Amino acid sequence: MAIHLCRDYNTQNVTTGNRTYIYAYLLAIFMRRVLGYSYVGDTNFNINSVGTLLIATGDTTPTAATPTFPPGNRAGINLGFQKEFFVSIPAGVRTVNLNDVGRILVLRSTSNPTFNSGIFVIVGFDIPTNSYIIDYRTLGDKPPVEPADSMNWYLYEKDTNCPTQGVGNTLKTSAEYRGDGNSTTPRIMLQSPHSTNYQVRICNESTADVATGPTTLTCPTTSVAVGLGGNASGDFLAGGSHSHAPQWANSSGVQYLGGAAGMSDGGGSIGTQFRVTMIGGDDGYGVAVFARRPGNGTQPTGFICVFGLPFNEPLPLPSNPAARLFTIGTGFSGSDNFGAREINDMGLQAGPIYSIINANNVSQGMSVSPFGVPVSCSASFWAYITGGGQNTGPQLDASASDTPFISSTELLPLDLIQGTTSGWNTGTTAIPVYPLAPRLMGTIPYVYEGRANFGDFSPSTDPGRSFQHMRRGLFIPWNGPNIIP
Amino acid sequence: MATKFCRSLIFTGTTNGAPKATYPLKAIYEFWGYVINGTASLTTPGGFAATTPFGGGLPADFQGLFTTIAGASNGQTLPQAVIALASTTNLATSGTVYIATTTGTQTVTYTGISGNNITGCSGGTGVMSTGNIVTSPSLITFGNDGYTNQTTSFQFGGQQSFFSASQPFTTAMVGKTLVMWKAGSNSSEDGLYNIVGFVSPTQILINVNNGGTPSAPDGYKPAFSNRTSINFRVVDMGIAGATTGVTDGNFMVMQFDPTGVNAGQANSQIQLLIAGATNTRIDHKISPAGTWNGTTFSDATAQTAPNAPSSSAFFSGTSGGTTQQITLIGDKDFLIGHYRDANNAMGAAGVAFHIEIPDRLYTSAQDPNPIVVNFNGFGATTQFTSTGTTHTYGGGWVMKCNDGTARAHRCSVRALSGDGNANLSLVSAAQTPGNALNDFRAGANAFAGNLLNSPGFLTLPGVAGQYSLARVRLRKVRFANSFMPQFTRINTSSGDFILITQGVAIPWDKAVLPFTLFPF
Repeated sequence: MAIHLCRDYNTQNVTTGNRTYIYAYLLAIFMRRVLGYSYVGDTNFNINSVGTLLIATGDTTPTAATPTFPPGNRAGINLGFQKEFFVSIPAGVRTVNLNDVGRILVLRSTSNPTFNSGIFVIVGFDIPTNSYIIDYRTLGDKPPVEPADSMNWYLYEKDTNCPTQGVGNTLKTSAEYRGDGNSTTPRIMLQSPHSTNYQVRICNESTADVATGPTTLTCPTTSVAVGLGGNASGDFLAGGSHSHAPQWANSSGVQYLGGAAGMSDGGGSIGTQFRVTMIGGDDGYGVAVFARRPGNGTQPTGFICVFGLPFNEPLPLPSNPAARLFTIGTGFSGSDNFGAREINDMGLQAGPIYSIINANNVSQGMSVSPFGVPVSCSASFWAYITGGGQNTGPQLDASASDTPFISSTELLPLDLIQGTTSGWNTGTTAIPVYPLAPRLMGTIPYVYEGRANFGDFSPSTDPGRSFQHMRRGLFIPWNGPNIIP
Repeated sequence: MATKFCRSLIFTGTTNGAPKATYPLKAIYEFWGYVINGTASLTTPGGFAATTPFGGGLPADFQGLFTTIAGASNGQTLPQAVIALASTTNLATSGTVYIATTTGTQTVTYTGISGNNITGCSGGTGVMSTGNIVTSPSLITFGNDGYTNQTTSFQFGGQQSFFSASQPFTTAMVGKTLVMWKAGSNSSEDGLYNIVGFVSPTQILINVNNGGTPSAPDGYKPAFSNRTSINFRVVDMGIAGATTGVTDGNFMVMQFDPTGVNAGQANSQIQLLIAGATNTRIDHKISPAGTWNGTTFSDATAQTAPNAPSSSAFFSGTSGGTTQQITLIGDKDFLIGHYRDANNAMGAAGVAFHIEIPDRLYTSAQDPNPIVVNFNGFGATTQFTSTGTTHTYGGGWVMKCNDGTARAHRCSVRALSGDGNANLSLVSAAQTPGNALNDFRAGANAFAGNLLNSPGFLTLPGVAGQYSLARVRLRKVRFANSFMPQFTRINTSSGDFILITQGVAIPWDKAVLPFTLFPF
C-alpha cells in the first residue's frame, strides 16, 4: 500500500458561485486518477473521459478501471536547476500552451507518492521542454527527480469550471429527496480498488435538497455517501445499501438533516481561498479531505471529511459489507444564511446540528447498520472517563506536551464507532431516525489523534516529517515536503 | 496463569479493637501467597520478595507460626502440663497452639515458655509424636492430602465437601477459612472458602460459592471437580487479623510476574505497609524494577497513602471486630480487592484496591516496568466508580512517573461519540463509558446482544514535562454503561468481566453470583 497526498491545493476561484463545489471536483479527480478508484457512473460530472473537464492525458484508456500509458506517454518532474517545478509531458500527446495556465495537472507517482503525487495548479509553461510549471506547494523543498515517462498525468479544466449544482428530480414531490433520477445536479459514483468494491457517491446536492436552515431540508452542499449498488447516473437507490439517509428514506424531512455527511465551505465567503489537503491509499481504504482557511479564519472555518473502510476492523466482520463503511464530515451547508454557525473546523468531535449555534466544530457521520439501514457513526476519541466534556479531553489538555518517556508526541489510532446517536438534527421537532446499536467499527484510516496544542498544520519534528498535525489533535501521515505555514 | 477468585469471603474479627488493616492484609497474604503463587510448601508463601518479604516487626502469628513436636514429648498423650517443641521463636508468652495428634488437630492452651517448652498446658487428646505439626492460633492446621469430588447437584448454601484422609478437622474449625491450592494449577477451585460445617475429622463442608469452577451441566454454578493431593491451610482470619503487636511500618513485599504481558519486564514489586493512626491504612511503595533487598529498594516511589475523596484512611477507628467480608480476584500479574465490615465502619462502600501489570504502550526501552496501583480509602460513595479525577477508577491510578515520582493518573476511555460531550440531546447523556454513561439506549447493542465497553488508558495531564496521553492500557477493568444492573456479566475478547457499579467491570468467570459481592 502506498499513501498518496494532494498537498495544500489553493482554490483558484474565490469569487463566483461555483467556488463551493471545487472540493467535490478535486476529491473526485484525486480518487479517480491518483488513488485508482474506478468509474461507475455520473450525471453532469464527467471527469472520466476526455472532453470538457478532462482536457488531455497520456492515458489511452482514461475511462477504463486501469489506465494505459504506452511507452513515452508519462510525465517527468524536476528538470534540473531552476527547473525544479517543471513537469514535462510528451509533446506528441499535448503541446503546452498559455491556455493551460490555471488548469489542473494531476500526477500519480509510484516512486514518490507523498511528494510528487497530487493535484497541482499550472502557473506557467516552458515550450522548449514541453513542460508545465506547477505550484508545488512547499517551503523550500524540491520535488524528487523523476525522469520523463515516469508518472501518470491528467490535465483537467480549471476549478473555476468545476461542476456546480442542478435542480432536483422533477418527478418527485417536495417531501422526497430529489437529488437523484432526472435531477441535473452533478454527482458521480466511484468504486474503490479495495476487494470489497465499495462505492462512493459524491453529490453536489440539488437546490431542492440543500438545507437552508435547521428546519428546512436535509443535505449539505456536497454529500459523500458510501455503499454498494450505485448506478450509471451516479445514484444509490432508495432503501438501498448505503449511508445517505435522505436518499435511503427518500425524504426531505428535517429529521434527516445531518444524515448525508459531506463537505461545505460555509457558503458566503466570497474572496476567500481554501487550501485543500487530501490523503488516501492506493489500497482503497478511503480518503481524508482537509480544507483550510488561510489564517484559520472563522465563519466559515475549515472543514474535514473522511470516509471509506476502517483500518483494524474487529472480527467477526459484519455479514453486510456496507456496514463496514463510513463517512464523517459536515452534515449541513454551514452557510452564513444558516445563522452564522460554523462548520466542523476540521474537528471530528461529534455533535448535533440544531441547537449548537455556539457549540460549533463538530462533525456528523453516517454508516449502514448490520441489518441494512442507515445508522449514525462518529469518531471515538479517548476521553477522560469523568470530569471531561467537549473539547476538554486529554488531547486538548492545556498541559499536553511531548511525552518524556518517548521524547515525542504520542499519536493513537482514532477509533470509529457506529450507532450511538439516534439523530443528528436535535431540533425540538426532531424524532429519532437511526438505531442505537453501538458497535466498534475499527479505526479511521489515515487519521490519528494526538495533542491539539501541537502547532496547526505543522509537521512532526523528526527528519522525515512522519506526520502533519492538521487541527484539533488530528494528525495524518506525511513523509512529504516541508509545509507552507 | 489463571484468574483465581475469593468471592465474598466472610469471617468474624475479634473485638479487641486494635488491628484493622491487618484483616485485609491477612486475606491478601493467604490469597496471594498460597492460592495464586502457592508451591508445594504449606507454610512458605510464594509471590513475595525473595529476601525478607515480611518485616518492620510484623508479628509471626500474622503468618501462622509453624513448628513441630520435639522428641521429649514423643509418645505422650494429651493433656500434658509441659510440651516440648522444636522452636518457640516468635511464640507469644501465653496463649493457644494447635497440635496434631492421633485424634486430629487439638487445641492446647499454655501460660508460659521455658526454653523450647511451653508450660502450664491444658486441653487436647491423643498421642503426640516427634515431628507432628504445631501451629499458632491463626493457622489451625494444614496438609497436602486434601481432595474434592465432582459435585454438580445443588447444595443449600453452596455446601460441598472437602476431605483429608489425615483427619485434621475439628468442629472448632466451623466459621474459619479453608485455603486450598495446587501448585501450578489453573483451576479457580484454588481459593479461600468459608468452613460452614463439620462432618468428621476427614470431612468438612465449605461454601463452594466462595470460589469453585463454573462447570457442567450449565456452566454457571460454582462447583468442585475431582481433585486430589490438594494443599490446604485452615486459617482463623479473625485471630490473624487481630494479631497484637501490629504497628505502623509493618510490611510485606509482593512480587508480580509480568510473563505474557510485557516482554522483558522485571518482576515488579509493591510494598504494602501498615500505616496511619492505630493501624488504619495500607500505604504502598512501588518498585517497578523489583529491587527489594530485604531492607530497602533502589528504585521505589515514596510511601503513598490511599487515594480518597475525603480521607486517606483505609479504615475507621472502630472497625475491629464484627463481621468482615472480602472479595479478592487475581492472578500472578494483578490483584483486585474489596473489603468492608458489617457495621459500615469504612462507610457503606468499604474500601478497594486494584494492582496490575498493565499493557505497556511505549517500548520496553522507554518504559520497561509499568505497574499501577489504585488504593481507594473509605469516604467515596462507592469504590467501584469512575467519578473522581484524583481517586477511584476515574483518576486514582498511581504509577511511577518518568521523574521518579508517584502520581495518580487519570483514566481515559473510548468515547461513544466524538470526545464524549453530552450535547447530543437525543441521547441526553455524556458519551463516555463509566459512571457518566447512564442512558439505557446508548452503550447496549440490543441487536447484537452485547454491551459496548472500553478498556482504559492512563493519562497524565497537568504536570509540566510529565504529560502522557496514553502510557499504558489497563487489562483488568472494562468500562461500560452504568445504567446496566450491578453484576451484569460482560464477555469480551479479553475474557469475562462483571459490572460492579457505575460502569466499572472487573474480571470474572461465568459464575452466577450466588450472593452479592457486597453482602451487608
